[in-house]
Amino acid sequence: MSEPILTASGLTKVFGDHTAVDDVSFALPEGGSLAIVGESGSGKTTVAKLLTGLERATAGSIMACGRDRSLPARSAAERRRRGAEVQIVFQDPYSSLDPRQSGADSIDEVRRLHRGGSRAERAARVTELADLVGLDNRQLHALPRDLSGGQRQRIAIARALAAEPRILVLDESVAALDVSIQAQILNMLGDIRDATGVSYILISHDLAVVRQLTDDAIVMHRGRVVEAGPTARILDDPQEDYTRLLRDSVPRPGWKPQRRQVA
Amino acid sequence: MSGLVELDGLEVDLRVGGSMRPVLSGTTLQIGRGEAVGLVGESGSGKSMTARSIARLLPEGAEVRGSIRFDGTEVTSLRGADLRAYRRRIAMVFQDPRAHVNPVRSIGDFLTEELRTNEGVPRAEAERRAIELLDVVGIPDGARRLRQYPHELSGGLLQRVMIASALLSEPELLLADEPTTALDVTTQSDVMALLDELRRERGLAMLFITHDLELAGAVCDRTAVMYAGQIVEEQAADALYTDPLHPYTAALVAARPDIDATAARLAAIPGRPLSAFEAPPGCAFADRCPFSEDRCESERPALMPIAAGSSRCLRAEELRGRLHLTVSDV
Repeated sequence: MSEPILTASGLTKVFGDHTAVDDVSFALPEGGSLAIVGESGSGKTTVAKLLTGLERATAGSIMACGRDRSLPARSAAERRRRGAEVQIVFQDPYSSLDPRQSGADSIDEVRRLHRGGSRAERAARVTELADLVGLDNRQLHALPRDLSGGQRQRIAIARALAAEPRILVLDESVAALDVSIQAQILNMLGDIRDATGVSYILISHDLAVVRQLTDDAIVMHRGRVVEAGPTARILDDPQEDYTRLLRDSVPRPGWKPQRRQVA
Repeated sequence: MSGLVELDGLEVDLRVGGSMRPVLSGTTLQIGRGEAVGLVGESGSGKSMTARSIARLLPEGAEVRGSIRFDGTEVTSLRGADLRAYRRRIAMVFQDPRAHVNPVRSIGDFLTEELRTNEGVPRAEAERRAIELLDVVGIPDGARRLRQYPHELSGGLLQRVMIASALLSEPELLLADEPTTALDVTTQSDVMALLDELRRERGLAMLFITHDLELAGAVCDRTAVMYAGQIVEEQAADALYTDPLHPYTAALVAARPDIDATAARLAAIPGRPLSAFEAPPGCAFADRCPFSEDRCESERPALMPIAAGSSRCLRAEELRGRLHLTVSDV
């Protein structure tokens, strides 16, 4: 296996007297795909914020693309370089796009900021990206309010890819989509990974989505990693009680819901 | 099983801007006493509007045609005291409990308001009944919870409070609109088990709305699948996977990623789900359907009985038994 493109070591984030992320470590191989699985309050979204520099870690370190990004960037150039290396796609495409900006403009903005180029070069790249995510010309130039949730999420993904990131953080990026659209986006994310070699961090509570899109996974519970390993092994043969509970809670044919005692 | 709820050719138009837009175009569905019926489909298919029509909670200016009968009485024309009396016989639980509870009133106020104001039950007695109900929904220490406010409760606990409040008036029908979608999967299992148990104990009928076919299958007797404002298939909940009667159901099952295996590619359905107002003159699913023929584009299929269920597909008989096997290979 090649050198990891992203390594988190002993990552810890404390808010007041609450430890949201507690000594979390993982490595993402170049071109790999790693899931961070957990329920609400597990700390998985805080990890995403730490990776993208939206929160500062209380302790621990993050190495991405060979550089340390544990501390805030000390210059605009450094901040921009970090932005170009790691991009994020959020869960809700209804709140993550500027309502006054067409998809083409918002993709172009990221392109111009991170990769520059002439107007014609950028326009060509925007068209390429639209093709990659399956948007037609009308959709590309429409305002978000005229697009469906799935189309908006395609814009958000194209926008993130415009920076040519080495790592894409997908924070529940397919959770709000209808099943038929979710399948389209999952297939597309698989194709993009094959075509560009980008690495994924998928933050998700949906184990079936995790199985489909990732090679490795860590399971988080109350800020800590309770289990880590290849996704298939974790789902087929969970070693920890909590992982087993998660897996057994997923509805499937023949499944019956179970009552637990309220804490 | 006698019919408690009977929807017959229900059509609903909502006012959007200056014009009327159909959201339901001919929904026909029965729910028997004590029966649990699942209603599944993608966003915009009309699931919530069906439940809201039954609860008479449609937005202002909605036009309703067709009939909704509850225990033999036509619901669409009820007014005043009759409407209030009817609403006491049904209860609704929504997806997001936080959006349906007043954040500045305590849980105790929320649970006892209706008993105190409408039934004149003294506060102490109302609180005693509320505490009892909290215990039933698996929240011990009810006396303390009554003094708490919604923000002090987790989503799972608050949804239990909503279920308790739904049970207060001892309804005959529970309309549950994605009651566990906003909850964690382990909490979902727990809350679903609770709903299922309470429903059976009390002989409560339930219309359970979800986008999750597996979840519907686990707690419902029958499941109806909606697409573009119509029911396209209806049959025993557990048969949807093994013997789907409509290509849409089969495609929906096939499109979902599998927790037990990684697919090289998922069997995505091309295009996007349509709403009722966008539906073409023929079959609403025709342009996404791998089995569509010329006549599907022009002829609107009716919901026809087939096997132990019904399907709104012109080719239902001929495709029977092949749908779940072939849809992913087409």
